[in-house]
Amino acid sequence: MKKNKKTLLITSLTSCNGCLFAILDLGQKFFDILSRFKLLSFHLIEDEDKDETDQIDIALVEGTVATQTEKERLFILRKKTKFLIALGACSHLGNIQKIKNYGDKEKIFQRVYSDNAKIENRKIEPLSAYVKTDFTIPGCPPNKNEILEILRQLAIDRKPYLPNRPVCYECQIKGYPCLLQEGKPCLGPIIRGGCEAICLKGRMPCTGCRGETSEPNMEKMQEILGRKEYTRVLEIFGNK
Amino acid sequence: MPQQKITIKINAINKIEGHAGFVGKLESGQIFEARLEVTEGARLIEGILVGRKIQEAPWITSRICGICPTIHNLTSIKALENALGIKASRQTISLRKLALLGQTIQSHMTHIYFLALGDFFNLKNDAVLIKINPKNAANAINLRDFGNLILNIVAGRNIHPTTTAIGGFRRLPSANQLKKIAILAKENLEKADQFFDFLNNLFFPQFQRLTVFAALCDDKEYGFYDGKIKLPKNKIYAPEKFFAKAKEFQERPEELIKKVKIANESYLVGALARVNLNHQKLNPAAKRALSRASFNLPCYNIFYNLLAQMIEVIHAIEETKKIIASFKVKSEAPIAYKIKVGAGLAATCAPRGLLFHYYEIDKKGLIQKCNIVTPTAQFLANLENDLEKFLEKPRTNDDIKMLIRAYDPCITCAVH
Repeated sequence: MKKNKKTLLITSLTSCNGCLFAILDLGQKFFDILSRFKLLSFHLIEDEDKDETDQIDIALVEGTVATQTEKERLFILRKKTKFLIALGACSHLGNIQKIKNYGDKEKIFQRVYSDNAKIENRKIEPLSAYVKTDFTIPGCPPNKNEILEILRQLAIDRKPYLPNRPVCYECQIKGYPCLLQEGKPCLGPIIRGGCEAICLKGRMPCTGCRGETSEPNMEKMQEILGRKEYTRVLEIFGNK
Repeated sequence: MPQQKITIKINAINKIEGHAGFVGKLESGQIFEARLEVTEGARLIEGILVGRKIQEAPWITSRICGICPTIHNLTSIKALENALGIKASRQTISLRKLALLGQTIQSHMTHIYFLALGDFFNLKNDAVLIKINPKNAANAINLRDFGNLILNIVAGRNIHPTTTAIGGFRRLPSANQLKKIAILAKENLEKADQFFDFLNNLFFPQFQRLTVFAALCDDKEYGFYDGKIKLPKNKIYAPEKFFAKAKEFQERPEELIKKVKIANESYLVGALARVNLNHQKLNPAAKRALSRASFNLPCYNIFYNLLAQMIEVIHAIEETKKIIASFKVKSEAPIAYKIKVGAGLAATCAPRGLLFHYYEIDKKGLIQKCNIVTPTAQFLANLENDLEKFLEKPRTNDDIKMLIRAYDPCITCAVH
């Protein structure tokens, strides 16, 4: 049994590390499922990375490529990894740091650093723009229960699966008041659920951190919100 | 004696928030460089916010950090309210304070247990740490969960809050939910006390270097949400004054973190600085813990930052009960406001120390300027000065990492 344990690597590129804390939020449940894998690296709980191996069965990758070194790291990781999962909105969509792509990124840079700064200012892209990703766990942050479910499926050699229904579906089941009907710019109809409509529970309109659902009616959404507002909200997590 | 050049390089310091390494250079026993080297990229948060609607700022700046998102979110809201001349209601302020206590408990327990504690046992892996002492592990995880529970109830979600808004709360917690927190506070206080005694018996490396402390100080309470800035010898500054004195500088062109000094001096912020400056305002059980602590005040030994954090966890649990008992939650929509041109600064105390958000707003309600100064950016120069002194004696890489981790640096915050 023991030698069949799959190797698992959890790593992050430039991000807020929130996906990793979502994993830690599983508490004992995480450490229980961890015993089903051989953990190679998870920088929050392991002092030393053991990723020099050439054989990584599963890699969970959070964050975006923001430096050349990160790009190289990602390419190497992809080569070694059988099943690479984009974890969270940074790796899935680009997230907030992608907002600079929609403006003049040099000008945006100059608002933060002086002219003589030598700091990389790459265009921000989802991981899939660099390498093939085998699966996505969406969200900012991801739903920790979905992370656990995927780890469970992988531990028993199942092909991982997450449902793909719009946020509205879960919102209505939960009986939360519809913010779109109240005239608020909510992307619920076109965004993929699985978040248990947690923002709507807090009366925060959906801003699209989980990306498009299958067959979204974008035209209708744009018509309801108006082009300007529609574009503004889509930009927040890099959906545009 | 021949000149001996030694370079110490640690490529990756794990068990901190974000990614950094360490470089130290010694020549003939003299240290001439000891610094952290960031190994992640810039996200340019202050730059991307310009031209965007003010309502997006708290939502976006929360994403600066996955371990302390709520404090960024609330500091952003507070700064924008200052710019717009909005005075939040007493209930709103009580609930925000409650959320910050949850944030402090969660962040401190994460740091103490998952990030720093292994160093005290020379353990490289938290799964092992949990196995060898399951009772303490359960206490630490339960306490962390309690912090998260407060955040989930009050702020809507523990990572990246949903209910908080300019002017108030989109959705309020119910009286029953608050009651649940108060009930759980009782048993968690016992757990925190036990965990403090466990930590207090650890062997703390004896290393100190005199420095300047800075923290938020509130006349009425141990402040996290509001107050002026206090330095030693009871020097007190209005946030605006301190913010003007705290000079950000980019030391080298490739340095992603803009460090901060006051009058060319490095200074310490965070739990150890707060306990040093504000210990008289601690709640009773936290005061009792402090009186049992294996350090005396003033304490300049950063390794005791863990104990200071644990004292704050005890304080925060007591404060939670106090706040919940102090008001009955009533239905209240966020205060309606009109957009106007203005500028606003807010200072708060994040788990890692003083945090500043500053915004300028134009007449359309778009952000014109944004500046965020984080705790790690403020204490980084102090950390590097400590490392220089620390390296005057022979140290292993594990020693160096232990000192860095005791500071609880958050690289993703510091770079943003």
